[in-house]
Amino acid sequence: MSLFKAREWWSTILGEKEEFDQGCLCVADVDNSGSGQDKVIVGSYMGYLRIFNPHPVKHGEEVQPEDLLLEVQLCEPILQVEVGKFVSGTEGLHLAVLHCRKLCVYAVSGTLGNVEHGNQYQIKLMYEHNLQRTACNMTYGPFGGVKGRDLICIQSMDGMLMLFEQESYAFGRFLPDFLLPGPLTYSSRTDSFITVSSCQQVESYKYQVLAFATDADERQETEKQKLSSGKRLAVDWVLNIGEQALDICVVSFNQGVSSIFVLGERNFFCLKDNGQIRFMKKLDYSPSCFIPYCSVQEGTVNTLIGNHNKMLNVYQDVTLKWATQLPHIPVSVKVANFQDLKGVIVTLSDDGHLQCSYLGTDPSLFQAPKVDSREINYEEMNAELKELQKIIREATKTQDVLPESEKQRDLIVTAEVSSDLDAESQAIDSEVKAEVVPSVTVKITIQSRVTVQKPSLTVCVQAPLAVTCDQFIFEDLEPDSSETVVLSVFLKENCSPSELEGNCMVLYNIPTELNPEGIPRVAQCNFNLPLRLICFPAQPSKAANHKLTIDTNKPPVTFPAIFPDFVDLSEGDQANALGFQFLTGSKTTLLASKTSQRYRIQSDQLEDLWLITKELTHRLEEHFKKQSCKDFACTFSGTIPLQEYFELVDRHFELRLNAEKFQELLSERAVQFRAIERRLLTRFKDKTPAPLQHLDTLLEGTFREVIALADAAEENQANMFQAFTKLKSATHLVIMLISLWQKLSTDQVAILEATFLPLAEDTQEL
Amino acid sequence: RSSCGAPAGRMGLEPLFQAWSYFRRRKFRECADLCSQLLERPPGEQELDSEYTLFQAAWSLKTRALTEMVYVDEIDMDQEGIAEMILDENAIAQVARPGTSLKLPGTSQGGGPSPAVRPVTQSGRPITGFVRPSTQSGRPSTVEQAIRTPRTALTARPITSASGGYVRLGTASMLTNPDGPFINLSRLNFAKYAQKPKLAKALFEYIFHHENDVKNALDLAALATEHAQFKDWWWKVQIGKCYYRLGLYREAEKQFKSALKQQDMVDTILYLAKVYLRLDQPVTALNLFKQGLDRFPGEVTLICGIARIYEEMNNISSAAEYYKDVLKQDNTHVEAIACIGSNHFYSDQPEIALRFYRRLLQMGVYNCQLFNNLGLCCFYAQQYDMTLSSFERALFLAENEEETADVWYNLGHVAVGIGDLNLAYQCFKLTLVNNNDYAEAYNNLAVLEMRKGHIEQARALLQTASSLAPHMYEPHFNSAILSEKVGDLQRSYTAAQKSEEAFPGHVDTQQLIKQLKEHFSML
Repeated sequence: MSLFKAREWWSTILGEKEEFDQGCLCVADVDNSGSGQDKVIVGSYMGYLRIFNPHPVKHGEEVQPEDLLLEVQLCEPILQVEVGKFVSGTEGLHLAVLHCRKLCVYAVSGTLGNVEHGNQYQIKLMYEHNLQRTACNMTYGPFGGVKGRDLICIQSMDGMLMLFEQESYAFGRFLPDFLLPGPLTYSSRTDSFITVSSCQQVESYKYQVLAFATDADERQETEKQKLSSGKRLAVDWVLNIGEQALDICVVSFNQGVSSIFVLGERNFFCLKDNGQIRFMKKLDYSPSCFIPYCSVQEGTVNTLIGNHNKMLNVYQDVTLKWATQLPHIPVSVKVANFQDLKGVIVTLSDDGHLQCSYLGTDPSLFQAPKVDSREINYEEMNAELKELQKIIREATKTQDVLPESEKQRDLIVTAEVSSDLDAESQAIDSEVKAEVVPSVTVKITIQSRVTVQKPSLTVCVQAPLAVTCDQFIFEDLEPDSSETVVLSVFLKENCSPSELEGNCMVLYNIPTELNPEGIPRVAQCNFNLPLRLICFPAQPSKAANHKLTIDTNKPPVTFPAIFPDFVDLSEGDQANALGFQFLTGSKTTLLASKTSQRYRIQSDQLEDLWLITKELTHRLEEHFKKQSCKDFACTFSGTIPLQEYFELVDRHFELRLNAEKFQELLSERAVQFRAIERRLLTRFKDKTPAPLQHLDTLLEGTFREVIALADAAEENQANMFQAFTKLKSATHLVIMLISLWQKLSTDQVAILEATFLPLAEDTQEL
Repeated sequence: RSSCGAPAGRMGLEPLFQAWSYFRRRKFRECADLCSQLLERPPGEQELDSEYTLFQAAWSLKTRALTEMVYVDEIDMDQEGIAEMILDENAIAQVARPGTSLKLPGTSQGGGPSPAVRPVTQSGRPITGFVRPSTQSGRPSTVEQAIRTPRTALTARPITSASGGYVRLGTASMLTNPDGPFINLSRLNFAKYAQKPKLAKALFEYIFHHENDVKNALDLAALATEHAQFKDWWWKVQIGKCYYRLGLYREAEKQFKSALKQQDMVDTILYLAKVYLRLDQPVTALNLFKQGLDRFPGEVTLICGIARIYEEMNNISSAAEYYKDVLKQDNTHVEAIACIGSNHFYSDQPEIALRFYRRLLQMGVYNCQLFNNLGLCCFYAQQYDMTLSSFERALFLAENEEETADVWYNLGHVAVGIGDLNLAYQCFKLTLVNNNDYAEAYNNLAVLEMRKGHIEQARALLQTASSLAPHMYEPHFNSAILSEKVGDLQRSYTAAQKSEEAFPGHVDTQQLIKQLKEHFSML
C-alpha cells in the first residue's frame, strides 16, 4: 500500500519467456569507460547476456536501440553475473559469468564509430574454468587481503566452496552440515565468508581457516577438485536467526562500522561484525530482494527492500521512509549512477521487465473504476421513481414481512383420514399400557398446477400423538401432477391429548425468470382424527366426580344415531348411556336424558370431559345439519367447574417452579463439577503430581449428583408435560362452557382462546 | 563465438537449482512439482552418497514449499473457544481490579466512550476500526452466557473449541496434495530426524503449519531441543508455540522466556505477550512490549501490540497515542490509520476521520467498508455531495450481502438525518433483505413503525432485534417505552431492566425505571 509510485526513467522488456533471478542483474562500468557511468548487465536462464547503457527517454518514445550495447547468446544458462578485477595484471573491470558447470570471465570493450549508433561492443573470453559440480552462486573480493585484484568463490549446489585465484583454481572446501545452498557473501573487514545455512543460522567462515585446511589434503587436490576434501571446517561465529534467508549483504559506508544485512523470509536483520544483532525488523510482507545503498544520516543505513506486493520500501534502519509502487515484482534491485543522474533504482522482474526508476510524488496510479452511471434525464428518472414508489406502496399495502396468503394456490395439499382404524396397528414404540394401541391411516395428496422444485412435506400432530413418518421429500413436480403418501397416527405417550388434530405442511420452491432457484412457498392443511384413536367403548358407569349437563333446544337423539362407531347394536339395551374407555385408563360416561333435551357427561377427571363434550356438540351439530334443522343450539346453564380448574393450574405452576429449581441446582452442580475438573487438570499437568486429596471422590460424587439431578429434572419435565396437556384440555373445556353459557359468537370465542390458551409448547418464556 | 546450436526452449538448468530458484521467487507450486519429480527419480548411477544428499535436499525443499503455501503467521492466529475459556485453570482472581484485566470490558480508566456514542460488540467492547481475529471473539464470563449468545452471520460467539478453526486451516494437506499427504507422519522416526537439525526445522514447520499436527510437532521439537542441548532458542520458541496451541500457557511462557534469555527476537516477544494476554494479564504484556521496545526501538509490531491492548482495555486515548507512534515509524500502516480514523469519527471529528480514510483510499485500499466509512464521514462533516456517491461506490464494491446490508443501513441513517422517513424505511427494509439478522435495522424499523403508530409491527420488530442482539440496549429501551405507552407496565419494566443490564449508565432507562417503580408502588 503506498501513496506514490516509482517514476519510470527508462525501461525495457527483455526477450520472450525468459527467466531471471536474483544473480542475473549487475550494475557497473563494465567497459572501463572511465566516465563513472554504470552499465546494466543482465544475464538470463536462457543464456542471453545483455548490456545496456540507458539514456533518458522522452515520454512516449521507445527505448533507443543504441541503448543496448551488446546482446549475445551463450550456450548455457547464466546463473549470475558479476563485475570485478578478475584478470591478473590489470586493474580493469571484467565480467564474470557463472554457468551451471562453467565460470567464464570476459573483457568487454567498445570501438567508437563515427556516429553514436556506429559504436561497436564485443566481449572477449579471457579465461574459463570448467566446474566439476553444479554451481549455485558466487561471490568475489580481495580474499586474504590481496590488493588490486578480486578472487572468486563459487558455491556449488552440494555445498562446496570453490575458490579461484583468477586464472587458476585454488582449493575447494565442503561446508559442514550442508543441505541446500543459501546466499553467500564476503566480508573484507573480517576476511570471511558469510552464508545462511539450512539450519537457519548465519555462519561466518574465515578465509584463513578455509585456506589452512588445504594443507591436510593437498595431495588429493592434485588429483582433481572433484574429490571431496574432508576436513571439517571450524566456524568463526554462528547466529541463529530462525528462518531461511533470501539475500545477504555486507556494507560499510562510514569507516569503522561495517554491517552485515540479512534479508530473511519474514525479518530483516542487521548484524555487527561479530555476529550480534544490531537491529532487526519484522516484515509484514514477503520480501523479494534488497540492497543497503547508502548512509544519509550518521550511524544509520538506508536500505531498499522489494516485496511480492510489487512495492519497494525505503528504510532508514527500521523506520520506513518511503514506500513506492513498482509495476512488477522485483527479483533483484540495484542502485546505479548514469550520465547525469545519480542513485537510479534498477529493478528486474523474473519475466524480464527491466526498469530504471527514481522516487517521486507521482500518485500511485490507482484510479477507482467508474461506477456504472448513466446520463441522468431528470424527467424520466422522476417518472420512474414515481412508478416505483407506486409499486412499493401497493406492495406494502398487500404484503409485509409476513406475506398474506394467496387466493389461488399453485399447489394444493389435502389430507384424508380413513374412517376405520387400521386393521393391523401401525403403532411404533408406544408407551401406552393398553393391549392394543390403535392407529389410523392418513392419506396426504399433493397436487401441483405448476412446476414445483424440491417439495418437502412435514406432518405434525401434537404430542402425545405421533405419526409413523413425519418428513417426506419428493422429486421436483411437473405441472398437473400429484404425489400421495400414506402414514399412520397413533397415541404414543401415556396421556390423553388435548386436541385431535393434525397439520401437514408442504415447503416448495417455484422458479421464476429472475430467480431460477425458486421462491420458497408454503401450503398447508389440517385434518381431524377420529375419537376412536384414543378411546374405545366400555360399560357406562353411574358414579363420577365431575358432571356436566348440556342443554339443547331439540328433542334428544339416540346414541346409535350420533355415535354409530361406539354403540354395539347387538347390545341395544342401554341406548341412553354410553361409556368411553380411554387408552390411558380413565373412563367417561355419556348419558342422554329420556325426557328432557339434556345430555350429561361425567368422568373422574375434569380434563377427560373435554374431548367427549367437544365430540358430542360437534356430532349433534352435524346430525341436525343433516336433518336441515338450522336453529339447533347447545347451552350450558350449570356452574363452571372453576375450583377443579384452578387445582390443575396450581399443579402445573408448582411443576414449573420445580423445573426452575432443578435448573438452578443443575447449574450450581455443573459449576462445582467444572471447578473440581479444573483443579484436577492442574494436578495432572504438573510434572511432579501432587496427591489428589480425594478430589477424585469429590468429582465422582458431584458427577453422581449431576446425573441424579438431571434424572429428576427429566422426570419433572415428563410430569410437567402431562400437567400441561391436562391443563390445556381443561382450558379448552372451560372456554367452551363459557361460550355455551354466554352464547358467544365465533369471533368472541377466538379472542377468548387467544387469551387463555397457551402456546403449543410449555416454555420458559411462557 | 556466440553461436553454439542455440538450444530451443529451456536450457539445461539443473532441476534442483531450478526448484531452488522457484522457491526463492515464491513459485511454490512449480517448486513442489519439480521436487516431486526429483524424488520419484530412481536411484541413478551416481555414487549413493551424493544421490542421498540430493534426495534429502529435494525433500527438504518440497517440505518448505508446501509449508510456505499455507503459511499463516502464528502470531496472527488467535481464536479462543468456549472450552478454553471455561476450563481456564489459570484464572486467579475472579474479580480483577479495574484496569488489570481484559475480561471486564466496562473497567476503563481512560474514559472510554459510552455505548450511546460508539457501538459495542457483543462482548461489550467498543467497535474497533480494524477487524482482527481477536476482535471477533468475545470473552463471556460463564459457559451459560457463552452458549446463549446468539449465532448470527457476523457472530461474536466464540467457537466451541479452538481446534475448530485449526482444523479448517489444517485441511491444507488435502488441497496441496491430491494424491494424499506428502509425508506420512505416523511412519516417521522423530528421533532420527531430531538429530539432523538441517532437516528437522523444515520438517517441524511442515508438521506444524501444513499438517497442523501439534502433538507430533511437539514430540519432534522436544527431541530436537534435547539434541541441541537446550541451546537453540528456535526450538524453544517452537515448543512454546505447541504448548500455546495445546492450551498449556504457563509451560509456553517458560519456553518463551528461556528463549528470550538466549536471544532477543521480536517474534519471541510477540509470542510471549500473546501468552500473557491469554492469561489475562494485559499489564504484564504491556510491560513486556515496552521492554521489547528498549531492545528494538521503533519496532512497529511491538508498538501496535501496545495500542491493541489499550484499545481492548477501553483506554482509547492511549491507544490512539500509540497508533500515532506506529505511523511515525511506518506511515503506510493500514491498521493504525483505520483505527485513528474510526476513533476520530466516534469522538465527533468526522472531518479529521475523513482525512485518514481518504489517505487509505489514496494508498490503494479499495473496498466497500472504506467507502462506507467515507460516506458516513462525509455525511457527518456535512459534505453532502460526496455522501451519496461514496455509498454508491460502496454498494458497487460490496462483495457479499452482509456488506450490502451495512451500506443500506448507513443510507437509512442518512435518510433519517435528512428527514426522508420513507426512504429510510425502504433502506432499512433493503438492509433486512440483504442480511436477515441485522438487529440494528430491526430496531430502527421499529422506531419508524412506532412513529407511524403501527404498534404491533413495532413490537414484533423490537422483539426480533432484542433476541438477535441482546447486547444492544436500544431495542430493550425502545420496547420499554413502547410498552409503557400502551400501558403494559409489566413488560415495560422487564424490558427496561434488560436495557439497564446492557448499558448501566443510560439515564433515560434509569428515569423510566424510576417512573415505573412509582407507578407500581401507587398500585
